[in-house]
Amino acid sequence: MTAAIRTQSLTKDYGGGRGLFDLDLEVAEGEAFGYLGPNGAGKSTTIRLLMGFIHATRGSASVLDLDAVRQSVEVKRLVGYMPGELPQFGGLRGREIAAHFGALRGGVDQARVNEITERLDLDLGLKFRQYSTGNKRKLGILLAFMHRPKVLILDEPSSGLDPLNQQEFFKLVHEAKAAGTTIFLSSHVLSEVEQVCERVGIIRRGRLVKVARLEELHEIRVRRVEVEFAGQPMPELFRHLLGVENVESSQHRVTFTARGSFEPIADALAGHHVVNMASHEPSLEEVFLTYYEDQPGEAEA
Amino acid sequence: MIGWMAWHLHRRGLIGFGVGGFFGSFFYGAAFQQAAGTTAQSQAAFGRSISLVAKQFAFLIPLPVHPETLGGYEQYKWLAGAIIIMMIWAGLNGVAIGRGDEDRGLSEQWIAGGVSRTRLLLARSAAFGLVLLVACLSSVLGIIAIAPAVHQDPNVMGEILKALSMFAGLLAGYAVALLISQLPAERQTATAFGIGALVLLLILNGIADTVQSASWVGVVSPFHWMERTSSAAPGGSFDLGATLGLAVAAVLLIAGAVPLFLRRDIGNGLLTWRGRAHGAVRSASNNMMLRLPFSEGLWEQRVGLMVWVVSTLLLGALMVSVTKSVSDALLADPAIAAVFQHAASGPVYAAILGLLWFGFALLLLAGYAVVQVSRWSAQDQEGRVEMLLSAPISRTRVVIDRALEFGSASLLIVIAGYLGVAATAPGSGLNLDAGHLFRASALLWPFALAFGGLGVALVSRWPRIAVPFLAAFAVVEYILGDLAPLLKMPDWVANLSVFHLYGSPLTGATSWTPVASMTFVFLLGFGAALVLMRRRDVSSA
Repeated sequence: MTAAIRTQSLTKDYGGGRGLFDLDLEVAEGEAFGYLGPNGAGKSTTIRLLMGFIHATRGSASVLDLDAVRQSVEVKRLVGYMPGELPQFGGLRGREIAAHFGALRGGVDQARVNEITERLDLDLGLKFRQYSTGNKRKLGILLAFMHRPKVLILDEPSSGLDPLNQQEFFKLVHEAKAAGTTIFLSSHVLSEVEQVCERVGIIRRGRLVKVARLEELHEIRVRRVEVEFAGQPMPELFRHLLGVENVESSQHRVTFTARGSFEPIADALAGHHVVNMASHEPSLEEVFLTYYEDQPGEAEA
Repeated sequence: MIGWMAWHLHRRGLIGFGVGGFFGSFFYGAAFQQAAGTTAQSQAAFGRSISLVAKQFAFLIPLPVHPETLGGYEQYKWLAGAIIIMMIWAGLNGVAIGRGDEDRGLSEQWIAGGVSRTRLLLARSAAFGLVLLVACLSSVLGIIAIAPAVHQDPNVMGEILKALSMFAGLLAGYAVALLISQLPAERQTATAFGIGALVLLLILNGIADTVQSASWVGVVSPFHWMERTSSAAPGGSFDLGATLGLAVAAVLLIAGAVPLFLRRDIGNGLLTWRGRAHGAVRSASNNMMLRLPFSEGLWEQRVGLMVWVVSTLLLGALMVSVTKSVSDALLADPAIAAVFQHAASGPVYAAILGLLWFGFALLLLAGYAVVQVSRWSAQDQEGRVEMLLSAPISRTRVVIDRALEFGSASLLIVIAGYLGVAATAPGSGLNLDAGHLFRASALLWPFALAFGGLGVALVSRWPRIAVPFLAAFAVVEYILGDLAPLLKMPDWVANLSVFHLYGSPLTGATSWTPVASMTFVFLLGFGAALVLMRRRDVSSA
């Protein structure tokens, strides 16, 4: 399968450690890829580089084997883009904005416009300034989907939508995916990505720290352990153990996360009166949070 | 909070008008001796000639007071023109504070942060007032600094009192625009009406100054009350009552804007047409104007553009209708008649109309270029260009469409001006040569394109600073066009000014050099825009 999106050593250095650094990424044609990271991690910079809005300091990016900068017009003929926030269109009405962007793209089917607006319950008769945040997002969805693109680049697309419209939006994405469209969905919310993506990349401080299938992330052996003592809890028993983090205690209980073997924990508990001990697999959200958080000493680096 | 706002929200205007004001007054002061000579006799003769010629500009600029002195010359040649430019700037700020802050989401942020609407409007007005005061003082500081070097007394108190009078008048102009901006639904419409109101007040003052039976209409114009202070000239007067009156009017108008701001919704004007309830619209518009970016731009600014077109048409007609009476009054003075017979190469009425209307039309078109660039700059910063580039169109196309949009709009304004003059001239007793009138009007277009080309280049690379840069360029070009002949600068220096390049086509001989030069400036700007746009990062962030 060929790559719909490919970046090689893609770097945009804004100075002061800000930007995107040495991004090597491949998204296959027809794949739904989630691009996760906290605010300011470099998600929007990546998207702007793919769309040819900004120029890379070094490295390259291509979409469907077309160079993102040199063949920018051809790229955008094939791409549907939804920005994190639509710009101000002031006094233009929704139908005027749709007509304008439809004309710029060419070949937009009026029936497709009608279908999307009907499904999202979007009134194109209103002026842009009269739209609520949710309606502006719906208009953004319409502009991204109306020409049936081969690649969808979506920047936090469902934020601001009510649950009903979120469902409708995810249906649209699933339909596009079923029709062979490649999805590149940027978000800082896991639940948004979980709805449609089978593979995710996690970006932090401008660097890609993990690319994995969703189920792989589930399999990472980080466990939440809960130990109940007969008497006073003894958190100090675990604080210095290898692979143990986030030690907390309350009443008779001590909880912590543990990676790797349980043997050091069992050794530490030897000779102590333990009433109960439980181990849980953490939620996917917690797994992501471990990637989001700065490692000790990293912030200063 | 006021100091923070003044610096963070107005620093470009503060630097532009502060530095520009200082150097403008400095250079006009430095040019005085070159123009007037160094002896008392030559300066007196210079003053007499200025007074004679000034009568033809009385429609726009008040008559000079002691133009044979540095202060009087500066007050007439520099401050009178600077006041008009600064009034447009004050008006743009009135609308920006009244409505622009809302489009940028700033008003909501402040109000959500616990700032009351009343406090917000008053604090924003006080912050701009602070910036305006600095700009007014800067515009007279240059002359105080240069006075010893040209062996003239620095009339410090008179200059400062003149600056205070300007401050009060300009603040009143700001307040007019602020008040009007509360009414229309759109910011663009508010800009058109706010600036249109200030231009109307300028015209009313012109009518009051030139038509004796209508002198009463000037009382509503801040220009009229500012003219009553002439303290920058030795022997001039400071009208305390007029200055205080302007200040009180400004405060009352700002206070009047507060209840309107309290009454209306954020992001909407007070006079909003609700329209009838209709069923939800699901389909895109069939409007052909939306098919291309340049025609979409014209469609989007249709109300503002219509105001420009109609205002230009009416102004052209008005100027023509007063030309004969103004000319006859002037020519009744044998000395002025002699000046015109000697200086004007064509018919006298045409020569006076050329100065009265076409000189003003140049400023109007330069102003339109600044307004248009301001619109593109706002769109760029709001993310419109990024969104446009998300469609399959190239950056080259964006630049071409901007040039087409500006070219079409400025052509409409030029045509409106031509029609206004051509339709009114026969009935006004002016026997204008049709060919010369067409040529003089047609030449306004390459003049506008020259400014448009530069504006497109600036906004393509530096959208945040394009507006103050273009405005400063217009001022420098105007000053250069004005001073170059006085200072007997070489032709190539004078020809650096687009205002000078335009020349006097209504009475002068036909020459293709100005057309070629102005077209070259446009092409240079356009070419630079293509290169600069291709290289820059486009981002709303």
